[in-house]
Amino acid sequence: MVDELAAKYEARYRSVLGRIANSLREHLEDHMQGQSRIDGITARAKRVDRFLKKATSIESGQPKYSEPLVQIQDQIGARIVVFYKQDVQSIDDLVTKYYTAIESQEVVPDSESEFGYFGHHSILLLPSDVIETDMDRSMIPRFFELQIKTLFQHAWSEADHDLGYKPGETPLTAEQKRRIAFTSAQAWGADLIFDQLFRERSLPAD
Amino acid sequence: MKNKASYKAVLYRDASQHGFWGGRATDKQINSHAGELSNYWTMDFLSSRSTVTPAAGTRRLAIAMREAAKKADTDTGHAIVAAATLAPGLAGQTVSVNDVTERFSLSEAAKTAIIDALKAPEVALEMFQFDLTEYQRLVAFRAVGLDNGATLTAPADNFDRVFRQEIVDDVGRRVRFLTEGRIVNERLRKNG
Repeated sequence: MVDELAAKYEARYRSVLGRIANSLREHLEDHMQGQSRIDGITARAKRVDRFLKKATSIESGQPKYSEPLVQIQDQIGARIVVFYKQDVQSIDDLVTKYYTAIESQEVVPDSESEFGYFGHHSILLLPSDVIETDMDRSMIPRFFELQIKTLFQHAWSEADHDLGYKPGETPLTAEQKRRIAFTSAQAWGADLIFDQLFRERSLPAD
Repeated sequence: MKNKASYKAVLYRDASQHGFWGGRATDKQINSHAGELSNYWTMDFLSSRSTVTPAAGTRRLAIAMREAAKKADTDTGHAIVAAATLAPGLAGQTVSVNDVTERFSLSEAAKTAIIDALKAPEVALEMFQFDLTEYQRLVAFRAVGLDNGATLTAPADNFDRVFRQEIVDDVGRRVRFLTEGRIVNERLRKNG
């Protein structure tokens, strides 16, 4: 069952997902042209091992996905990294002007007293412009995930992912988790201060 | 169905039970005075949205027309520019790129030039609501170049009022443009 799923996903990963991710990055760059304070736009196809890990995940004792090829919506993921917090909203407004959103959420830690992952995530309909005529339509996901993050949110999540999610490694200790949460708080504070500074500096001089 | 000219029909299908339903709706009332009813039917009653946003569809059309006019021969380019000048009349209507080329009775060469300028030919069939603001942002100016080195530029929606055109020699395709106004600036530019 897992082998069959792996073979199916690998086939779509090799034949269409990478090409679509490249076209999608160009599509996003085209549509974001002229916007200041965008640090970078990237897009990628979800790697086979990561897809399988997610596809076989268990929730409340049951497989989380009954049809992973249909239900997993980040087989193609894109990210726009912006300078300041306020840019997240303005870029999101532009994104929803040109892309059909079916879901959008601010991802924040579970409680107000916790620090961890922050980011704006949306599930958007894959635009037909990025699909080439020779591609097998049955292999093309209908949606892609777009993350809009500040530089600090992005930097934190990259380091967090690198340190905390390596397969086979021993789990982080409570002390290590606390230190990672501390860096998230620092990044959150830096975003807050930079956003305030940007707003102050944008005001016309008296 | 009471009237074959004003019916609504919709079909949704998906290969999976867990997929997001995709559908194709036919609404013969969408561009009529019953447009509000169509919006209610699609958005509220069917809980559906168009797959292409108004800005995205209009942007696609505007860029395709602009690029097609740039690459086409003089006659085809002229026909595309004429259609592009009339396109603002579609404001608020639900159309596809194909519909637009049909509506302005473009030649096969002009239709092909526009379809070829799209990133994928299939998108010519996708319906969207024409967004006038987006269109005018992308097709803001019309420029005509003459073989004597002149380039005439004016807002696209006003070009024919700013420049009056007279045929000087029909066979030799020579024209005279006339305009009148007060000079407000003069510029030297690197490129034509």
